[in-house]
Amino acid sequence: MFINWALGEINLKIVYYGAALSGKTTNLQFIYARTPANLRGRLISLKTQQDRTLLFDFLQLEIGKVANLKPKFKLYTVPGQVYYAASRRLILQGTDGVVFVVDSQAGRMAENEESWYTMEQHLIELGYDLNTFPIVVQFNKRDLPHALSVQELRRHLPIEGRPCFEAAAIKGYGVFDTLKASMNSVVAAVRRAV
Amino acid sequence: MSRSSIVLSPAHLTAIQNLLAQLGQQADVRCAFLGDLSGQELASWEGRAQLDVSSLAALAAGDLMATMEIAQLLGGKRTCNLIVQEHDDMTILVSRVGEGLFLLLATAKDVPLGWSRLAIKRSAERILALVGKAAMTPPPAAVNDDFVRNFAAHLDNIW
Repeated sequence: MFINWALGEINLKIVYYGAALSGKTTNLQFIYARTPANLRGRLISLKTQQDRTLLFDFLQLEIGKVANLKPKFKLYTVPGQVYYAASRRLILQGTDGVVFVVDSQAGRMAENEESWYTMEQHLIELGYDLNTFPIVVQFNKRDLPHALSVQELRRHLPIEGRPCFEAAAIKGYGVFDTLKASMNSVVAAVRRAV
Repeated sequence: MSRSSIVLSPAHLTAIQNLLAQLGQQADVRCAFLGDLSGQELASWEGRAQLDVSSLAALAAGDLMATMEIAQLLGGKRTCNLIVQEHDDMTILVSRVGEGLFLLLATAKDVPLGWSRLAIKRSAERILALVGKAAMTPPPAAVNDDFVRNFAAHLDNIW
């Protein structure tokens, strides 16, 4: 968080975290496509030649003036592949909230679980208190035929008490519900902090 | 490691912006930019260019953090203090400022590298002194319950 009182700006950072190919970049692409141009910046993607996220995707949203303050949100994704652990940790630094994107497909549960536990490990290393840190969970790819039930997904991940949303990011379903929940929980956490 | 937040008063921010502007007028400087390692832009002097400072902050922070990780993987410590990039038409220096901030200085190619190194080092020291004091300033209680409620309603209006 960076607060610029001279300009009345609160700069907040949200990271989309999750296993490889879970749909993190797809979320940002949809947000970019469906947000008025005056409220968003450029969508920056540092990709490999195979079109996979190398370091991060980045999108800034300016929400407009609320009660004399201008909240600005910087949305990042992390690269999902296992071997980019160092990149994921550095992107998490200074984040004010996380959207954890779960791949609902039956064969991806092990990757989801590993991703969740490495995220927790990184957040603890960075000094966050997991009990109070705002994490919103998105069950993505609900439109695919082999998607596990939400009940089954919940059983595999320690997400009790976390806000959860079903989504099919490729079609936009659930993308903004997730984003708004994350933004609201981050703002509520800032309220508690200051 | 514990988290920290930076709260700059208008006076501190003005002092930093003046410092960056002074830096920009001493040589053929394209831009001077202060950000934090989480990718937030704090202050900038942009010369004649209109820069996308948000993207610049995200990329420069990522660059510096990635460089520090490279050093660590090679058996060093995460203590990179300066990155120098020599491009065809400009030189870019990125220096750490204390533990959590960085200063980026982009100059024309013909500006001596020695001058740039010295300028960025001295500016980093002066900024660190300013920000060190600023971090002690308690924030005004503007993020109140009304703000939280209005914010949620505002989001519903957009999406």
